[in-house]
Amino acid sequence: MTTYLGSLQLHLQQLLSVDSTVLVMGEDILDPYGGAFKVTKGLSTKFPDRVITTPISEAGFIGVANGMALRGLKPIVEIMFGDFITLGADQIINYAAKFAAMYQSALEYHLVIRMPVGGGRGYGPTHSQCLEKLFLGIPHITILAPSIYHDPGLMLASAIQQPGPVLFLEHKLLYSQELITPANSPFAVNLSDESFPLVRLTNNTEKTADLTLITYGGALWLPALLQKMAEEEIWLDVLVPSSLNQKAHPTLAVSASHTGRVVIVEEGAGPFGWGAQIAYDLQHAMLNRLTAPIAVIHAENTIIPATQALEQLHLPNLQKIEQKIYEVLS
Amino acid sequence: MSVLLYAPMVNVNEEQMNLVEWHKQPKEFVNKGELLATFETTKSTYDFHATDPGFFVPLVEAGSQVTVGEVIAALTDQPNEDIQNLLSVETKTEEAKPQSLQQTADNRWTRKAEILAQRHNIPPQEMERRVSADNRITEEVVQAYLQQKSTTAEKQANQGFSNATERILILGGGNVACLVLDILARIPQQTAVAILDDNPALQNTTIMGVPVLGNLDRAKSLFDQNFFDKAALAVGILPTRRELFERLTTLGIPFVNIIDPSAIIGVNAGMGTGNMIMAFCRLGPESQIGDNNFLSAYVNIEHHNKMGSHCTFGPGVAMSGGVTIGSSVRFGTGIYIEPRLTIGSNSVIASGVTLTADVPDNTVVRAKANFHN
Repeated sequence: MTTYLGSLQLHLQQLLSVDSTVLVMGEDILDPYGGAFKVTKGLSTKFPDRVITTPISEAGFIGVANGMALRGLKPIVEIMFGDFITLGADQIINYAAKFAAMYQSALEYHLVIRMPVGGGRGYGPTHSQCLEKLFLGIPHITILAPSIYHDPGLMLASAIQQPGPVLFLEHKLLYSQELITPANSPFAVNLSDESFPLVRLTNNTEKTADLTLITYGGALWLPALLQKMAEEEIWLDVLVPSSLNQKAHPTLAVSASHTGRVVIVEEGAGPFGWGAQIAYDLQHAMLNRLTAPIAVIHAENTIIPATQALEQLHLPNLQKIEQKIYEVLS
Repeated sequence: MSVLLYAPMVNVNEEQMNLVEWHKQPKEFVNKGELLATFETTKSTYDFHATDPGFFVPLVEAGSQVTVGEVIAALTDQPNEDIQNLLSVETKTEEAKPQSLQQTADNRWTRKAEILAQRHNIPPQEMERRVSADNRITEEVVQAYLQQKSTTAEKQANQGFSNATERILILGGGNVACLVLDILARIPQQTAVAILDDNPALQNTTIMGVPVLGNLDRAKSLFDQNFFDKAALAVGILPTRRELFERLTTLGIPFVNIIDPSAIIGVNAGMGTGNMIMAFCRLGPESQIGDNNFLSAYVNIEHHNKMGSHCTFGPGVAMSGGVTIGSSVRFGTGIYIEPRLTIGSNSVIASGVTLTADVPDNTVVRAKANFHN
């Protein structure tokens, strides 16, 4: 049994072992502290020359990583909290994302920026956000968000081989969780054979699904939702992409073409997000074949409260999703 | 009042920390606000002060790892007070938590059953009467009711209209599939359920919202599973169109005529099956066509024309009356045909031809004035 954290730790160690051009940078990542979420624990002891602790200066060290990547190294940068990525946005948008397109084949460029994201732990407005929508739609950035049904370490290993900059989103709530695999899940789990797989879950393999549910990343409410819906005889086809900065995966439309009803859930705040784009892609693919309008659930369009009870109300939660499913089915 | 003390959250990133030291002895009296313990996280040490006055009862040892929220001590009103009561209240509230989160809504129906009943305007009492009070009303119960109802009065009222939607399987996922889907989008009685195509790149995609479910060989098994009622060939090229039609007909798969609602079918005009008739076509009165013909937009089959099967037309081909056409004839675009001519099978009539004489079988008719680059 592996946890989300364990998988990341294991594959980071392997990456540094097999490839001497890989190095890791970030704030407070050295032992004994080993990083705010312990992803780099033990790493600096094993690879003291290639685990580099940095000052509190995201723009600076993402810039340094950019330089390293330009010269053929493969830096993996940790942003202590995903919220701080805004400080490095200029280096990512105006430099990292531009290199590949500007220099074309002359350049072999690899950079992964790992970011713990998301709420649910009472960390308040500036340590709980899902800010990926700031980077969605920027060309030449790969945005990955492994869920608990993906293997995050394996995806990290593929991410560093991906040309161009990769933002790698790790939801904080997942670190301590056991990974859910086809072998240990009570419900059917299928992964597509892509490097950044699409996960497909259903709570009834015998019956035609009633509704397509699309989400990514954190989504720790999923196992409970599948269970609850099974008790209510509502059969879900759940699709969990791991790669965000691209058009809707074609399987999403295939599912929607069977169910005709779609609910999209994302944790980011308010409108203009990933869910809106997926809804657009689906309505384009589906023409007039949807039975009900596509529903998108996201966080409330305001700051994230620090009080955990209020935070629960602010973020998408089991009750809100359940209610929306009934609405879309009615 | 005696109280329990819990390990505080010192560093938001850490669930566990070290309790380094208790600053009081067991049973010693502690004033509110007095220094009681020191914790150490990976980032800092933290001094913990008494929240209430009382006699100190440590419940974890100095030097041990504690989890945030864990009970670490009690402060009691009396020395040597039994704290079991306090602790048992604590476990009880913990056990009670999951229950309070449970849905309190009426559990008599499954949501699926409830939604289904609402969709069909079934009075709830009707269902509740059928199921004993300790059993849940499930989808099965509602479906059984609907089944029963539709076998009686409702079915009579709907005669000829129930199950009116014909489920169409589209064979071929190229551009022609879009033409067919476009027509079906305007015909409420027919609906495309899936597309089959041998191109691996199309698998697991959708075309205009209809899924591609495999290669053409799947047609037979899908038909045997009662997945569709009839098939439509979205292929405009001979001889593929003819071969596929014959192969699948041999397997027992029925084909359907797809006719754009803007097409005009004259009085006593007749056709076989598997024909595609695109927008603004016309079959004149008393005309007759066979099976599996493909008529692009603006094709006029005039009155008393007779045509075989597997003919394909580009847009804008106009017959005069009384023309006879064989089978597997390929017509280009923009062709005019004089009255009462005969066109033999397997011939090709090039775009732009104005035909003024009969054409034997297996003949290619080229347009003299055609521009060749």
